[in-house]
Amino acid sequence: MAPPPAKMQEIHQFLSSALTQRGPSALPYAENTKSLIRQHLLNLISSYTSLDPKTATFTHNDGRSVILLQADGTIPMPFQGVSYNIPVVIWLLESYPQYPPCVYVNPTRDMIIKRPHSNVSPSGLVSLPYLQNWIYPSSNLVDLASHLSAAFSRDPPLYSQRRPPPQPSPSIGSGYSRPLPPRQTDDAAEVYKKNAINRIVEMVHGDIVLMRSAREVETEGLLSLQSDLKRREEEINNGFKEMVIEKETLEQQLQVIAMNTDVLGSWIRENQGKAKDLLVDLDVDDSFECIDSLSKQMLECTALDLAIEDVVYSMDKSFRDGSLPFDQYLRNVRLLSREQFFHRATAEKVREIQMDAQVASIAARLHS
Amino acid sequence: MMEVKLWNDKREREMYENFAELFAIIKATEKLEKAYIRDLINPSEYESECQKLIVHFKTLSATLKDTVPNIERFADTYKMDCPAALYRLVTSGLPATVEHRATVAASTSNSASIVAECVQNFITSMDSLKLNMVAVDQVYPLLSDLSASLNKLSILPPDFEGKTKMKEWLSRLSKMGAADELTEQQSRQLHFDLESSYNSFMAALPKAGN
Repeated sequence: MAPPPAKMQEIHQFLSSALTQRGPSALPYAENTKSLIRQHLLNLISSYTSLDPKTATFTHNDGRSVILLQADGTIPMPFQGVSYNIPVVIWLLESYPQYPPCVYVNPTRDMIIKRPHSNVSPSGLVSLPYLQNWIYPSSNLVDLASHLSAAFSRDPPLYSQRRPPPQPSPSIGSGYSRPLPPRQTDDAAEVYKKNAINRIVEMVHGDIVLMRSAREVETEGLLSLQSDLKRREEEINNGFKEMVIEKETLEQQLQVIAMNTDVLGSWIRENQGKAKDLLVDLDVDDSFECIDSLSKQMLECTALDLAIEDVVYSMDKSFRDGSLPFDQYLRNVRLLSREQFFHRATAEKVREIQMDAQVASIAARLHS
Repeated sequence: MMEVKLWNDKREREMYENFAELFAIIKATEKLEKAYIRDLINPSEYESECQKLIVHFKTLSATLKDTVPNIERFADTYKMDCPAALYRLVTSGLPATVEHRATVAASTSNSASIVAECVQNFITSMDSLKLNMVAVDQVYPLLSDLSASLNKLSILPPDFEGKTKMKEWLSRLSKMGAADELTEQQSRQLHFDLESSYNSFMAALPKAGN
């Protein structure tokens, strides 16, 4: 489609103004070639309306900066029945048109230059047989654009990037823009991988800590249970021993009681017939006869002890009634208590001797 | 079998004689405490008799320290049922009248003689300490007399310095053996307390009094 007349008029004015500049801002083209340059650009725009002529600063590899004419825009690329637009920049170097221009593929933010590509370098520089076989004055920009379109259709140089780059793309007109360096993409992947690994490690660590805490609690519970069981085992063993000892003691007591029962039975049988003589000539003091002198002494001492107790009790009553003066009362209490002690001590001593004799007797009987 | 004798030699007889005396003292103290509780005797009678029994008890228990190290066991062995006596003799060591600071209502005519008695007891106690009589059985009766006379004087307040100090010293001495002696420090402290109490006593007397 031909561009509208207004646009062509505008382009005419732009090119006339740019090519006729004098002084420092003059374009570095030879005077006798400016009309041809003008014609080439006008023909190009007429055939490819998606391209626009511009002036821009170009930086050479040696660092020199120079203002040149360029055609900036897109070139159609028919591919698999669909027409795509490949963004390109065509720089008209100082030696143009005797030497070919520089053509760069200018990818947008979300595009990546395919690598390796048969015509496009990683930096976007385009190499074509038409450019290499450039012949002045027959070679021109329209044929160049046609060859670019054909070459791109055979092998598309761009494809969409999966993730957008973090930094914005350089603005159009500030020199050629280059695609993202490959290291950044790799670095991003590595960073993501490292972050993922760190996250997984942290999660695993946290899980292990939790599991360990749970296991420690469980272990402590089991150890506590074990100590409880051990303590109860000891208690049961002790209880069992005590019961065994108690059983032995009770058996011993049973034997003693059985023997005493036999003794009493014998005594009853011996004295059964004596009841008949009880009513004749009864003397209270002779009704009981102590078996030995120790028993007699024991009886005597106990009687005296209790007799003194009764006397003191009577004196208490006398003193309380007022019939006995205090000083006499206390003095007699003291005297009687002193005498009482001798009887009580003697009784205690006799009791000990009798106990020893009884124990010896039982032991002898057990042996027989 | 022959009849059992309580002792077999002179030494054993002496031991049982002492045991009998100890037994009698405890029994008599029990009766005395009951009589005092039942208000059958007046406090002065109780105090003097109790004082005597306490002194006898301390003297005798010191003699029997080896054979009777524990009085309660002695009481258990011979089946004595004398809790009041054991408290008085073993635990308190003071007559109830002294321990509870009973105040005897003294009449006007007796006040002068009681004051004189207090002064005499103060001087006697301080002089005894100066003469180095520091054994418990020497000091205790003097302090006991002093404490009793101070308690009899109704013009002195219950918390009078001399009363509290003497009570403290008597309680302390009652925990010691009769033959035990005060240390030099204790002796000086006691003398200081006596002198201080004596000065307070003189200051407490009414100026234009009887």
